[in-house]
Amino acid sequence: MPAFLTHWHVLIETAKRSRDAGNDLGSLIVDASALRRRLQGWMTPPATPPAGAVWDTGPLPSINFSFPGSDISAMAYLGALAPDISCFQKGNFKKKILDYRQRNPFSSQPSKGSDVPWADLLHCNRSGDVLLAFLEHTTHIPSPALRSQALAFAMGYLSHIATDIALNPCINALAGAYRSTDLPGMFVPLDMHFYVELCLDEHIAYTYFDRPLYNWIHQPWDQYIEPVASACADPPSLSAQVLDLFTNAAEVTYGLTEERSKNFRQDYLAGLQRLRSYLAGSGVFRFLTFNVLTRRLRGDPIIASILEDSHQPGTVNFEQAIAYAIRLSERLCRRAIGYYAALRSTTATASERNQRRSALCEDLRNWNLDSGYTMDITFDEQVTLHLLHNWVHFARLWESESVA
Amino acid sequence: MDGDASLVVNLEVTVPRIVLPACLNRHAPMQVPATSQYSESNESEDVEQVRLVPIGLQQDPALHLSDEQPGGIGDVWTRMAHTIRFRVFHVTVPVHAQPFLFQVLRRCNKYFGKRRPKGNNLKEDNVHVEQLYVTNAMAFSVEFRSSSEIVETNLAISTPTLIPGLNRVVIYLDNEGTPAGYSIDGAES
Repeated sequence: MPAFLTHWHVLIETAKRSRDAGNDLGSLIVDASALRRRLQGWMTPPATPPAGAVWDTGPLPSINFSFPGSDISAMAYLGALAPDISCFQKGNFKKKILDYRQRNPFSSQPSKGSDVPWADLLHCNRSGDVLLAFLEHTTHIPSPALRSQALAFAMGYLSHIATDIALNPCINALAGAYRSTDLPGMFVPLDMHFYVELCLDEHIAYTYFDRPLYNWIHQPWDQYIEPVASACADPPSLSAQVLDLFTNAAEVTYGLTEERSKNFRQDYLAGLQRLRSYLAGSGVFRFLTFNVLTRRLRGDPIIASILEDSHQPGTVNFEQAIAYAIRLSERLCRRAIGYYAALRSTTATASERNQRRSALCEDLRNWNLDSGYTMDITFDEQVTLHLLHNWVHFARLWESESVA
Repeated sequence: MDGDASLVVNLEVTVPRIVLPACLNRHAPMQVPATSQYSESNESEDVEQVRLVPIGLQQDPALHLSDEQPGGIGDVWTRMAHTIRFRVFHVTVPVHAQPFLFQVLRRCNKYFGKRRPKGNNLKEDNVHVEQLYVTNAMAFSVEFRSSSEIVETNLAISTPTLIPGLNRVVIYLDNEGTPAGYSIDGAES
């Protein structure tokens, strides 16, 4: 799984490219009026009013993307990290940086109580169905403000799916090609996969956010998901209600019992609390910051691979893979918005809704977010189980616009 | 479709060729064909491999892997989609409830630096070893259920038990033993 800044970069680019999508998807992600409130120093913007909630916020301003987001975009940033959030829970973060899931693709026994590896479930089992359920629940919400927040969360979540399936094959290949002893900048307890993600995020931070990923003092990244992240623990808030929707979607998709659903919610909140510390570089995460900032960078082949921008035939570089992730994210978001709009529209026919749903499902499938594969079965002469890779399913998205 | 033949499951896997520019010298040589048609692969193109291992028998993925395939690799084809080359593997899956670990392996030239002390200096001996390494892993199980079992199952549990990280494929057979539908992780199709 790529790290947080890679997800946000893909999300921002998705929003920039999607301004024309139906009801103005770009304004959904980056809410201009809320950004202005932030710029004027109002750190806690009021709950998004229904009228200016998502759409019709006017043309997008020229945004300094290093500046923390608005309330509505903060929810999208949070959605873009949602499948990973339980990884930040105490005990799980160590597994994350040790590539536990890469080494142990599944837990041999169903977990009980709060021990359920939710991130494994969200990444490997019915990853698309969760989002579909969330989107469909959202359409039934009477409050426009809550719908807007939920939709922003869904767009972020979709971009997470796109980023994971597009980039994990590259990250996995690069991580597997080296041993930790080959890397001068490697430090314990990191394993290769996490190290590649970290190097990729460092590159994204310098290139697109114009600042380093880690700072000695305070890191700004936690502000990107505020105030929605802190408000998740406050039951009447819109953020907490979005979390309820997410929990309901997981409950329906995975057939969770009431107790398990509570665990899901609690674990999400616990993970979110630690994610905030991680993004701020505070608490126990200072150790990680120290090691990142003091490590040797010269001669690091992982960094060289990420920076490589030559376009040799038959090779794939990270720049191309990120561009593919952005196009894929845009495609998924447009399909989701199309389906959502059909569900909300009073004039849409059942056939039209089914058509939009099929189009979304055809792309969304249930990708394994770690490997980029999905399963399909055909019955011809024999039963064939197809493991289809997203790179071939969306092969046309590898074409750059200049070529297309 | 013949009822007996349906108890064999073929696995078709599409594997992209991933050669990162900076790693070119670490990967086995490759040639990109000019055609976009399916074509037979040859040994020199054997950069990617797949394998199925019954869960519980797999070794540490970091270890060198055997070429032995429990399921048996059938035809391997190569195709191009835009600039990316894909290999399509066909594997026969032994059908029983036991889960499998599906792994994609890639070949890479590894240069291991062996450090040995010499006086106050450290000197390196580079050892070149061509090695397969695991880049992707997925766990799944495949089972067949007859229509009578479906009724029993529905009575016993209303929702399937999901195991995080394991994809459970159930193929439903009609009264004549012909596959009539399937579910993946409880989602019926």
